[in-house]
Amino acid sequence: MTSEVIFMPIRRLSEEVRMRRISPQALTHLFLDRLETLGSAYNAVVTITRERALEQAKRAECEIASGHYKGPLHGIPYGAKDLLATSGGIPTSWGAEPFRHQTFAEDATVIRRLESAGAILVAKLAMVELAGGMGYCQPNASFTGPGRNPWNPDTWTGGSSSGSGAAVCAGLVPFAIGSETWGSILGPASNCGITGLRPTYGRVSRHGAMALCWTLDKLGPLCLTADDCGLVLAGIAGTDPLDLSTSEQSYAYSKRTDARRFKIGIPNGVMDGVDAVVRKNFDTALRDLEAIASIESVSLPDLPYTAITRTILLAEGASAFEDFVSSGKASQLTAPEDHYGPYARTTILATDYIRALRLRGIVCKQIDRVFAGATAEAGFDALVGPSRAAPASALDEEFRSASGSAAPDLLGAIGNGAGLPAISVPNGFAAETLLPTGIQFMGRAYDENTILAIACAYQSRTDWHTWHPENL
Amino acid sequence: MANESAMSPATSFLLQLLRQRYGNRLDSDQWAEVAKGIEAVGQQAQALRSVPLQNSDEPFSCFQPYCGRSQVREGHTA
Repeated sequence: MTSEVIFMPIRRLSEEVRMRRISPQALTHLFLDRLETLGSAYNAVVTITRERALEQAKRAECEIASGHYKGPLHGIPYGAKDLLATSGGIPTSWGAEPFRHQTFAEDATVIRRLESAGAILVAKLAMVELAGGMGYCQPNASFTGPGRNPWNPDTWTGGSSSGSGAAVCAGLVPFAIGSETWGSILGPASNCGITGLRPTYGRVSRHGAMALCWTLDKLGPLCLTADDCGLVLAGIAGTDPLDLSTSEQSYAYSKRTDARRFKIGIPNGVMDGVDAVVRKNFDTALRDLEAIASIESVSLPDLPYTAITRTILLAEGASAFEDFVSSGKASQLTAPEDHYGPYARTTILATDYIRALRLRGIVCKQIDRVFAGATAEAGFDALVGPSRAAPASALDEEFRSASGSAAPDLLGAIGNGAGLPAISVPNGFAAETLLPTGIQFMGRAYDENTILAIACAYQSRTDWHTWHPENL
Repeated sequence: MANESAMSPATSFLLQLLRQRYGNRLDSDQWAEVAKGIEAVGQQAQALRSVPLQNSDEPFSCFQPYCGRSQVREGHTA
């Protein structure tokens, strides 16, 4: 098994597997061994699911050999963020010491769907405790330790899908499943120089995933390429009677073939508070995008996006963990600020939460009008901005104050509040630190294929996504 | 103890509510941080109230009565 396989995109890897040039069992052993030897260096792994993986790999190999090929995820190993329930005694820890040995009788829907697609679960991946919902503000917020960035292990992977970001970046898994309530897929993708897709809310079933915020939580893929993200999304998306928030709109990933230029909008204010290197790489990316898109500034409606989404996040999070906080077990969490972080939010008035929900409706409709435009020609295929305001921070550095203030995240507030899809792709590196930066494309609801097409086109013209940390 | 003279009256009141509920669970430094959190919640609420709403502006989530016999999904918010 050559080192070329380690960072081979799923599209190509699956062809090798389908043509029986690579064995699913050999591939599984390769990634299991890498997880065991390298995973701890990045605090990326909670549980290596060796026994289950080898059973799945053997089954996949037999199925493929007998001509029963299920599709591009068949025989492909992956890791799952440790908030996804896994049966068979495999712990699902939610990244939190009080839940370290928690088990569930049934798999989460996403895990079942990936099993049906023939994918091979090799690990439960580390995460920030309780998906960051207790108010953490620095990287050491998990019983597995801070997520260490493979580009520089003294810096942070980002969170809360910290292990998912590190594992894909370091070539420990070809893809991972993460989750995002606000920033937890795009952040690690950007910090780790990989591609992460946050689907439309309701596109992927949340059944069996730890709930932080019922109306904000989304599950999505972290991969080496945008194309791979499309392949994985196709394997996990779909309506689910066990999750009534899932959409009845079906999803099929299709790569765009027409030559129409995209129309991309840069919202005013999206660069506020952004680091100089992020700004530089963003400007360079815009010049690269000019070959495939017309780009213009756009003014968004003046609404309190951050207050709306943050109120929903805090109120729902307070309810989701009400019994946990009342029990006093927050004192057992790793991050000191998580010991007291969840209390203030219990003072949010019901009328304020409902007001935020009412304002959410206004946001959804007004932002959708921006995408639609007054005419078809005036609309946008995507809104664009930096994925994060700065490259990865040091492990001992706060990334926001405990009361929540940080660099503004306009697209995050809008996109998560309105349930819109977004994809982060790497767009360069900081010259001095060699840490990656990312650019995000946010699309209209249910329009994942358009932002995937933009991201694929960008990656066909750049090579940032092919850069990998050395000596791995 | 958190510096209550520097807090808004609302924050002070809400902090007292939490202290009644959670007693000696947190130390004084932690309660001071909680007070900052309550202030931040208050500022967020003010921002929400800066946008006037009409009676017809509904919460953007539809409640659908549940019947296990047959899932009624028509009209369910996607």
